[in-house]
Amino acid sequence: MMNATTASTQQRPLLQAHGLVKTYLAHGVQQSVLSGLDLTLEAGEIVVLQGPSGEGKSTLLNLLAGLDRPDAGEIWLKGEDLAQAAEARLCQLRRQSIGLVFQFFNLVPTLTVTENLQLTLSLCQRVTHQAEIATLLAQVGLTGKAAMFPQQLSGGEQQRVAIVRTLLQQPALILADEPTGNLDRNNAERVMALFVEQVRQRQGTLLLATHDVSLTALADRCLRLENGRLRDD
Amino acid sequence: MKPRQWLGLLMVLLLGLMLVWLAREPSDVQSSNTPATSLLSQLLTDRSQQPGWAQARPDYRLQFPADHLAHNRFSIEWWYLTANLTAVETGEHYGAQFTLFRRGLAPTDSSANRWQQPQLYMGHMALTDTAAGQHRSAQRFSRQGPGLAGSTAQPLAVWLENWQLQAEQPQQLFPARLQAWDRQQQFGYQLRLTPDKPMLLQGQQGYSAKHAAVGPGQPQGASHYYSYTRLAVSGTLRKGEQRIEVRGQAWYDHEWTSSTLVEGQQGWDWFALQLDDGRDLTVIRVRGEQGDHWQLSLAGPDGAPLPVSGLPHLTVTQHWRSDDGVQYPARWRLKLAQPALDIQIKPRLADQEMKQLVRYWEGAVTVSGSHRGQGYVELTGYDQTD
Amino acid sequence: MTSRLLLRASLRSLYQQPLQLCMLLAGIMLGIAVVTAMQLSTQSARLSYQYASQQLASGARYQIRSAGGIAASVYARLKRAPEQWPLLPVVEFPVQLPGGEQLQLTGLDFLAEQQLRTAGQRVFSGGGSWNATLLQSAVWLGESTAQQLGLMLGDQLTLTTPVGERSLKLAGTLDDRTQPLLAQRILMDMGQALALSNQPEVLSYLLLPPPQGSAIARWPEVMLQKLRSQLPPDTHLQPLENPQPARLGDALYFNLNAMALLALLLGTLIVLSAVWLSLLQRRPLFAALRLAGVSGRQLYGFLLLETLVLAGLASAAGLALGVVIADQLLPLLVQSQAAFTAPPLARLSLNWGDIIRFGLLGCGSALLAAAWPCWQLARQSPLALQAAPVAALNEVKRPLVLRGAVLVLMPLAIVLVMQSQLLAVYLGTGLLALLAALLTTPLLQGLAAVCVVLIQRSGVGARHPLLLMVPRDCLRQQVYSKGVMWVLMLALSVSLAVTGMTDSFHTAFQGWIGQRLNAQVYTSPPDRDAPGQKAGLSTMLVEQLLTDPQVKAVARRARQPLTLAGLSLFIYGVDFPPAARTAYQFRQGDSETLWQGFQSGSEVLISEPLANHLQLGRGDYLSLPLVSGEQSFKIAGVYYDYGSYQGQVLISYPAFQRHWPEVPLGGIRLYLHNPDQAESFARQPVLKPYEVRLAGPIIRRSEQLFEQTFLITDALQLLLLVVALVAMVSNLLALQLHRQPELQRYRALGLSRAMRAGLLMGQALLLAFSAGLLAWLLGELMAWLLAERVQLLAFGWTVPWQFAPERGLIALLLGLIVALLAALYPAFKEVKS
Repeated sequence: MMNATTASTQQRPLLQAHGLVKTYLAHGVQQSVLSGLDLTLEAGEIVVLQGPSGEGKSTLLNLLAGLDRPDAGEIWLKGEDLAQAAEARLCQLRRQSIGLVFQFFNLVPTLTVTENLQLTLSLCQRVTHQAEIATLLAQVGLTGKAAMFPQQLSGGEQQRVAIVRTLLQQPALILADEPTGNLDRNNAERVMALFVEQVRQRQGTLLLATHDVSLTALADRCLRLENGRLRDD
Repeated sequence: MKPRQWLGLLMVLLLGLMLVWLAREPSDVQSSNTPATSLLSQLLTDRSQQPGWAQARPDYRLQFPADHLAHNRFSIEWWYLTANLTAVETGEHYGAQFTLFRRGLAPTDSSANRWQQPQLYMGHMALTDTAAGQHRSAQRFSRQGPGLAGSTAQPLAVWLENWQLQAEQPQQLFPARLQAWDRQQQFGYQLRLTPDKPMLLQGQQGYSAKHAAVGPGQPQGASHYYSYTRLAVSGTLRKGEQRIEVRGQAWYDHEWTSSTLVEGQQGWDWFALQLDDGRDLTVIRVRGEQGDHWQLSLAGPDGAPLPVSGLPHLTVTQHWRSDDGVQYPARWRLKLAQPALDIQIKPRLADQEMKQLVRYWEGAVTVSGSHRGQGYVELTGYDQTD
Repeated sequence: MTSRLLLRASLRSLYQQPLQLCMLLAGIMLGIAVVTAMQLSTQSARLSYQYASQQLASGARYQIRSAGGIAASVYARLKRAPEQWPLLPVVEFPVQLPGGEQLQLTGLDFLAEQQLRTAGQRVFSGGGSWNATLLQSAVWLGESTAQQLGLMLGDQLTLTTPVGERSLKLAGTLDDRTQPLLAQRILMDMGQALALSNQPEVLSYLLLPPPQGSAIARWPEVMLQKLRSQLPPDTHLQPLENPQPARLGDALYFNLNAMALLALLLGTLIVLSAVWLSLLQRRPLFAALRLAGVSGRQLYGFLLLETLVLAGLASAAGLALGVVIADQLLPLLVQSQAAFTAPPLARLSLNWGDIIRFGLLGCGSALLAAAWPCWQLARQSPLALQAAPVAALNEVKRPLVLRGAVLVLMPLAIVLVMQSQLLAVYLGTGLLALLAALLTTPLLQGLAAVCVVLIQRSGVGARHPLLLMVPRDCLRQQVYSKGVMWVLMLALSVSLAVTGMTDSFHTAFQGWIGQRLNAQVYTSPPDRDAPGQKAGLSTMLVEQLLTDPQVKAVARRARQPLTLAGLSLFIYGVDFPPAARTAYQFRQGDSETLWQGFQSGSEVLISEPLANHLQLGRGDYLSLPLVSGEQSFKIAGVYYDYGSYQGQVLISYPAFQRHWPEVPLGGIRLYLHNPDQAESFARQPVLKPYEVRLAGPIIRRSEQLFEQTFLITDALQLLLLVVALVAMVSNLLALQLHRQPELQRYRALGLSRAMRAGLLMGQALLLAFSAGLLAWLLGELMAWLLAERVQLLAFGWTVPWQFAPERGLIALLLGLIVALLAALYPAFKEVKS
């Protein structure tokens, strides 16, 4: 997954966020979620982000993915300020540089497994042979499910498809928001072990937001989100 | 493909077919250019003796003004006007013919519906422009209907649409105004006719036999017939936009019958001659296989009938052939014992043929020889003999 | 690849939710169907008259028609006119075959030369004898029809005619294979046909073929003027290309066109609502696609393409449905003109041009309707798409936009409707409808808030919390129910507007005719059967009547055709004794001065349509073309008139006689001291030779004509409401589907089926009430526009708008009933589930 240019940018962190502020208006009341948050991610590291529900983990990941904009602060990804980028540029980045894995999988329900993967590939303009897809699916234990629709798969299987989809993108940064939130314990362990292994193989960078404490064992670093700020855990 | 997909495809096809069918355009109605007038001509020349028609009777006395009007119990009738006219400005000669025919389709009219009254009217109008060597004719027909054609008293009038002969005063036919105009041919006239002589009853008190008397039960072939042999004419001719003031003399006939010709008779030659000495001569020759039947009459300068005796001697001295080969006599010599006459009758123009539904020759003629004068000649039945 | 996958994803989504797909297609289909039906039926009605006439006299470009038909004596008089008008008479009326099928019996004068050469030739080439034709009950039938009925030549055919059942002989057949328009005709000779009609002295209309018998030559305008001047007052010469059977008919066709335009608006709204709903229902799919990396622009483009494809299919279906509806409407439309003319056989006329036009209309309106909601959806962030579009209870979405829209659109709409171009007025009306649509949500919120307050304060809320759920759920689901409110609001307002306009026109017309026909007896010269009669009434008659002690006043009338500023109209020489003056209402001016000026002979009165056309008013000068040259006349006053939108000029009768001495006295109006004696007076021997009519029957007949003419608008309003009902049903069904999870939760909480059904129906009623209130306002506004602006601009006459509160109440009630009916099925589903 790492390309030749990665070595030359190893000096600079992959992602840097400074002074992120985000508030929401709920029932006429301003709720502050992030209050001047700072974050640095180095290339190739796997970071777990912890914190109770409603603290703002998803909000932070949405900001880092360019799905939302901060009220204040900067987000630099590979030398580009996401907070100032136009929507079209953000969309492009999400195709090529940022991979997303969600709690509710977010597979396209009316495309088969293969088609979901093909969609991702076509959007990031990568050519991949069917053989590569088949190998990937085999690696995650989904042989024989290629022609199935998401609703025909179990939760764990769907999440594995989502993971494969992200991996195919070969993004510089992967953001995972409660990827095991909808899985049972056994499945969760299996899926995450697989996920992290694949990321490490490809020397990717992963920021994993979860309230599942057991996943911290897989990480290089743990961060805790409290009161709108991060601290090392 | 799955069944649902086939069904979807079938529905799309059906929809397409339906739209194609819906979009068919109504074809334009073609108008036929083939005249159906041959059917009309059959109607008008029908010689069948339908029972129920009234027949001309020698004991019938004509009464006026009633007998100026149409006689619907008889099957055929016509009101005929011919005139020799001179343009006031140029002195050029014109001949004018105006005829209204009535054909009864049934002897009785039992319907209150005016459209179903069984009378068919046909009008012929002609103008001979002698100087230009031109003869124009026009035809019109209509059912009687709700005032489309017919005759009426108060004032006396006989008409077919806008071709109208209308008396100026009640109870008498003349003086009268004649107006006719044909849009297609762009000609017509507006004339005023005043009688120079009283009416002449033709034949025996208006009973005109068309052949020799036959035994009882056999058709007579006779009509009721009267004429105004000399009417002074003044008025205007119209040729296109041109208006020509004219003066002249006209001859008016009114005849009605239920049998014009009988078996073996082909047609007639009719001469209406106005002599310069003030006398007016009618000569009718009905041509038949078994010989001709003659009828003559002579009106004096005061209009009183004068005796005529002896059979006339009529020689055709010249013929004229129409474009399609119908041959008409085109000049005659007429000799009579009493009155003593030896005259040449010559058409002003050779081609004065009426090529309408019914085909005949009707033209202005001059009279020379022992007496001079002018008149009109009518020749019928020549298109059937060849 | 991306597009292919997007298409696949989207189509499967629709395929897997067939109800959704059906509702989307149905929405577009209904919208197109209603517009197609209206436009097609109006267009076909016009063409039916044209085809009917062209069948009989190919090349004929004009027809002469009159309310109630043309008297045979009028026809005969025209045929006797010196100009040799080559008029062809036609009588037509429907007859029925034993099986119930209707045919058009057409009576022609086979002996009229020109007719003989066209229709008659067909008749006689099929075989027939003269006697049979003219004297016996013989008919000619289309060949295929004869075959269908199993008839041979000479067979008897029983028909149900206006005078009862008759047995007629089949004398021949017509070639209807190459001329399909002949298929539904039975030809008969005029005499025979009239005997079977219940008006044997009345012809349906007259055709005027081109002069010289050529299809190319046209009648010069001066000749047409001449012909017009020879026609009786209520008889019109009209071009066949644009046949409008009568003045009332003109107004009807015009109003139908206005309705068609409003139907277009309604259709577009229905499409908008359907598209909107379909987009809402597929939000999760679009969210997934956006999250997968599909850009907003890609999604927008794809959605428009999808709309186009679906719109194409739905338009085709809508066109087919529209054709079916138009087929039903057409006889009704033609029948509504039956008062003016024998209705031709109504035949739907649809060609490829129409199909393309309606198809483009469907796709175009769907694209137009989809453009904004698709844009709205595409520009939302993926996260926003993930969230359900449930509004906060008190939140007004984008209040600034709304306020801005109202502030900008409202003045623009007002400016547009006050313009003097019809198009501007229509645009302004459309804007007002748009504004009303924008106001549906705030109004719903307001009403819902009021309901909540009332329920709470009355204490009912505490005992029956379900009642509180009704208004609150309405608000939460307002995004979903916007579409249904728009559709219902516009359908009700269009219906109300048309009713309001028709009522106003009716009142104005009735008032006018009652005022105008204020004399008791109307006398005109008879049409005689023979030439030689002097036209016009004699002055001796007038003198005689003036000495009659029963007669209060006699008003003479004559007329002369004129051309003014390109308009063909008449100038009337009229007496105005004091009794006659109340017949005219003037726009302005003191009556005394006005009448003095008029009586002087140097001033004229003009009708309002003419004044509007010429932009002249009281005190201005009007130049009239007299024989001696142009002469200026001062305009003494402008009077209201609905009799002729071309316009009229009135001048005093003595002045008229001076300028046009050769024009005979055309008619007189008699005012009696005792109006009740009108009938007995009319029977007097002195009036016997003349055509005498009484005011009462004329007024009653005109009422009848009016009712009949506008019958069609009732049918069309019903159509619009049915369409709105169907759109509502589909929308409410979709809403119920969408709310299934929520309704399941209510079920889990213990709400019974009846309660849940009641919740759905209650919401429907609240939505309908809100829509109905707006519809009342918009409808009356549109009625005012149609009556006072559109009529004025189109015809030049003023129709004062009449407000009637019961109209709005009925519309409101109707809306509630429609909503109840629409909610029945979803409620029933909820009960059964």
